[in-house]
Amino acid sequence: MTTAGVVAALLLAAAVSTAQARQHLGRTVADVRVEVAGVPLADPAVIELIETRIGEALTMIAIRSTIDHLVGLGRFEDVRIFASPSDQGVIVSWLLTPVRRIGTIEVDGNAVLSEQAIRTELADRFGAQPSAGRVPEMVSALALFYAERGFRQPSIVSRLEDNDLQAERVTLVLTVNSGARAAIRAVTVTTTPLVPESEVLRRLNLQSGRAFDRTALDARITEYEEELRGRGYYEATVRQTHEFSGDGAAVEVRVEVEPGPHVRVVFEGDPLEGDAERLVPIREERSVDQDLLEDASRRIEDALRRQGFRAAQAPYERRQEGDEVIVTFTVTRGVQHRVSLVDVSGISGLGRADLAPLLLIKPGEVFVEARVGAVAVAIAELYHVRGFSRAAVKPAIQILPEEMRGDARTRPVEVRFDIQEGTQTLVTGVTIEGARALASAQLASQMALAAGRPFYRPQLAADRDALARAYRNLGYQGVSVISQLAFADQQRGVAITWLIAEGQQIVVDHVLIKGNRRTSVDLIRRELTIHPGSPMSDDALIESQRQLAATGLFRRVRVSELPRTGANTRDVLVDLEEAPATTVSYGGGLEVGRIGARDADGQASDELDVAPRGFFDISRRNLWGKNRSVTFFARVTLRKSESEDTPGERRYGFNDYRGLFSFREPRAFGTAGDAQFTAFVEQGLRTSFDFNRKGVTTDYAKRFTNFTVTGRYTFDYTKLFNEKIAADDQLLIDRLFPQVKLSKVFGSILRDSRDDVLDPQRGAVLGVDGSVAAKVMGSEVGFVKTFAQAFIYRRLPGRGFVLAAGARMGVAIGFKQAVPPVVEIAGAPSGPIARAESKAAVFPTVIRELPASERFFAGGDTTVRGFALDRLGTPQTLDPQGFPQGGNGLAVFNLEARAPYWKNLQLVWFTDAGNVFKTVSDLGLNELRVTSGVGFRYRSPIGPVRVDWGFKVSTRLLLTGGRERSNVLHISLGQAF
Amino acid sequence: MRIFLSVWLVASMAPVTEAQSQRGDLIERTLAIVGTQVITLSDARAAIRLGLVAADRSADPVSVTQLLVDRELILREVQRYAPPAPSEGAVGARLEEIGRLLPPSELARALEDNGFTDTRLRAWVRDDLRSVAYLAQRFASASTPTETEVASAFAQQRAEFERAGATFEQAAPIIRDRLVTQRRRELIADWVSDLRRRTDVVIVAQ
Repeated sequence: MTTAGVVAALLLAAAVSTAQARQHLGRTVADVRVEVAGVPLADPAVIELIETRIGEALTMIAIRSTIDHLVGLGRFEDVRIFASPSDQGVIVSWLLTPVRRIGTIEVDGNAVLSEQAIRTELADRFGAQPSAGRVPEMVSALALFYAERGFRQPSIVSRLEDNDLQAERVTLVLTVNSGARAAIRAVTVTTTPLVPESEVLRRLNLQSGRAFDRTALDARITEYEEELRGRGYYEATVRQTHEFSGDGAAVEVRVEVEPGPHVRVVFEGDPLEGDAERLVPIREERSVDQDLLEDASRRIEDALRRQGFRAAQAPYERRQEGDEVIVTFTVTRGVQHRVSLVDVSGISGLGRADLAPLLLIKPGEVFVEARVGAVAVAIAELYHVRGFSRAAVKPAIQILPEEMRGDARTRPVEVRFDIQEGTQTLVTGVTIEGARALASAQLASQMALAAGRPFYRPQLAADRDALARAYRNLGYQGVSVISQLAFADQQRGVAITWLIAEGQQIVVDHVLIKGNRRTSVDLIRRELTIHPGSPMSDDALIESQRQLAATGLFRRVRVSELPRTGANTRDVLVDLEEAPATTVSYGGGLEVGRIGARDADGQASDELDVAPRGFFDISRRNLWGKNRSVTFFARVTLRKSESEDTPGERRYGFNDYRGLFSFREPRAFGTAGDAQFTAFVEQGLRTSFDFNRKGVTTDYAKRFTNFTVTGRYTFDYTKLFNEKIAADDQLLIDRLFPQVKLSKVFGSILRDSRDDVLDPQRGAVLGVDGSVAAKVMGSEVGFVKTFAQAFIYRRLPGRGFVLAAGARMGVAIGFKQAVPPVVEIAGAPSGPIARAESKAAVFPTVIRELPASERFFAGGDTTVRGFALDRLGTPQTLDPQGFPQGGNGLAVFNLEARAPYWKNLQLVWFTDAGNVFKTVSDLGLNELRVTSGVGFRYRSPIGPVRVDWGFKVSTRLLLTGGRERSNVLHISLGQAF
Repeated sequence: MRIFLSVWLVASMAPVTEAQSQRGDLIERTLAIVGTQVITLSDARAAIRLGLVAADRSADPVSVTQLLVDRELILREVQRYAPPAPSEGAVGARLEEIGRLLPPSELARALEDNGFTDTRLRAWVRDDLRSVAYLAQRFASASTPTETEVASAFAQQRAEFERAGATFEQAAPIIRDRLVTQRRRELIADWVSDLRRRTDVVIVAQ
């Protein structure tokens, strides 16, 4: 058959197919068959997209719409539809060919270049999984890649390994034979380099006979050029040209080195205060082009003018002296100007109080002319916002004769702002025409301009955008919103008419979900705020994307509308890439601080505690495709502690650890809240005791718009050991319950609007929680306890200044509890307590205290920083040796100012006040201990590294004699609060 | 080469023919996918039948695939910049022009056979007009040819103008227009090639 014959046959076939298609249309669909690469398909996610349904008439619109769905799903690239007549109507067969993307690239042959380099190059150019249809382009790109590296005639043969016709991912096998690499035949260096030619060639690694690699050579040239510029040759250029021999086997390279003159920068005239390198960034930019020098001159002048030197000049001159170019900036500061008077005239429509916050120029300050212009603009803008659309503010400055101010000459400047207010325009009415889908009241709520409000033209544009957005969120994507203004009464009033052409509403046809292998479709649909039949809303698409991303199940989420011309329905594609189901993380750190310890005399003292720590976390997410997860976390800290075998001697050991296993189920029990079950074991070191705790908790947390409510039940078993407090001085409850079982219920409400959890600059945290333990719930001790906290963060005027304040208060009351008579075993100063008949001292038989693990403690890097960990407390809460026993009342207040210092370094000043009280009735502000201090934060990629040095405002005498330590140093990670 | 082409065409027809015999008549299929937008056999048939592409009305639908791909690439770019929509008058005029190609009953049949509705045809026309306006704006400044270039072109086309009895002075404006049009076409072609490189285009049949 000739080509012409085949083409004719095709044309005939096409004509015939049109007629054949027509004969089937309108007939009843008797059966629908779907095959993928010849195999019948039963995937419900695909079947539900087929719109040629049995019993319905066959239409091309249904067929075309189905193709849109199937291709939009991104799984099929060729869809063919066949029709054959049957007794009952027509049988429709859908033949689907999977989209084929290159999932793996394999390289064989004599590639010479590394397989990884080839993969990286292709991935950079064509993406991670290019379509198999782009293989020819990939081969061409690879040939160029080889040519750039000296392989002028590579042989690249591609083939796809696609034995499985249903596979969506195929392997591309590239058989590469690089061929001979061009060798450098000759190298010449033109012009005059600073160093001998041989040195240039060594630096550029160029030598006759070596393999030619243009990419590597270009990189070395750039590096060499940068080096020359770094040495002050800011106009240095290094270029290469090369020419291949006819057969491509050899190449001649020519290198042109133009070092240019050495450049020196000189400042003359008045001294330049400030960072000259920043004002004249020649070294940083590695350039002395005219634009940069002019810019530097302007920067110097601006810097001086900001210091009040109104007429400062800093012209530059460039001159050649021998082989050197000298750039001289001649700085002339002139006389410093100071504001002597600020006056505003012409105010009637607004009050002076309205303008006061804008008048940032005060008498006595240095005069900065640019600031006068900024104030004038700000005042004019305020007038415009208030409806004075033609208001103009004319600043006038009068420079008075020079006078002496101290030892310096200054020129006083009088600044006046003359305001011409013009007419205030108020909105007399707002009319909306053409709105059908949204009621006028709904639209009115979107607008700021309403009857009686000042007319402000930028607000008109904002209102127009708000109206359009309201419509677009209802699917009216082609909405047109136009405003018409009718001014009256000499511009004193304006009537606004909004003309709305809603256009066609676009609704969602199908939601196509792609890329979920483990995650259930139900879970994905539950997170979507867009559904079939709902309006095609931009906000809903974004919110759906946000909610899916927030599940943490996906590495990439994209929710987008698929195009469809001339229809009022659109498909939405949810394109997902699942995150690994198992994640492992680990890390380490160092904690440095002062912790309470027992000195040689058995008295409490602060000891420097250096504790290396490490953690390990393994999580398995998305169990059963429903976003359930299990996590195992372990943290261990190498820390010094006394052992019971060697009292008084502190040795390093893994004395501080925590391990937990948790199971989390988001949206538990079909609600919007998350449930979690946790089993844990932990051991910790406190100042007065060490403890070991094991337990289980189960919580349920639900997030509302602005706050989170949490309910929790905990059952734990806590054992105290290494108590530093002598047995005689221990609270009775600690003697009775060195090991205690607690069964608690806990509830909390928390509102957290911080902009950043680790380093907040704006927002607040408000929270209150309460817990109850009772014998009826299986607890050995009963109590009720509540804790309230409030933190606020504000950015102050100026760049990066933050003020943070916090207050914490806790109160607890133990339930009255009768206990058997208890006696102390004589002669056992730190031994166990026994319940026995004895004639020794008898303790009370009713206690109302909380166990040590539930009492409040304070002092340390996150509470009151002038104290070491737990060392804060009223005398009633300290034992005779100064060890803290904790209390039933707590109050802590913090105030902290954070100021930027240099690059990522932040200086901090803080004042903390607080105390721990034995009982709730002891709580009083007059008992607060105040400490103050300074510190700094280094903003590292993992959060702020914190160093705080807290000082007690007044030190007190210890019960054991001597005075408290006056200061404490803390090193930690994250802000204090 | 001719033998290779014949073999390729026969080979490419074979699956279709085989499928046709087993499953009935091929009534629709994908021809290309541009990004996520699919171009189908019925699109190509309608475009030819309704004069929406520059092709003979008896042309094979598959042969206009590249034209429809280029149209879609341009349209994607046009939508990114969202130029003003054409006036309803311009859209109506173009629809009338299409209506003159076919009697009303045949026009309705052509739309139905190819899954088109009046709304979709109107949207297609609107998109075309937006693309034309966009191209006119974007490529308005195709450089004016120099006198030397005009003279050189005249020398190449002298026979044509001599047959019409036109002098160089008379032919020069025509040649200038032709050169500008040709440059504009080349610029657009380069731009479309670039768009194609940057877009995921899958040609299923051509």
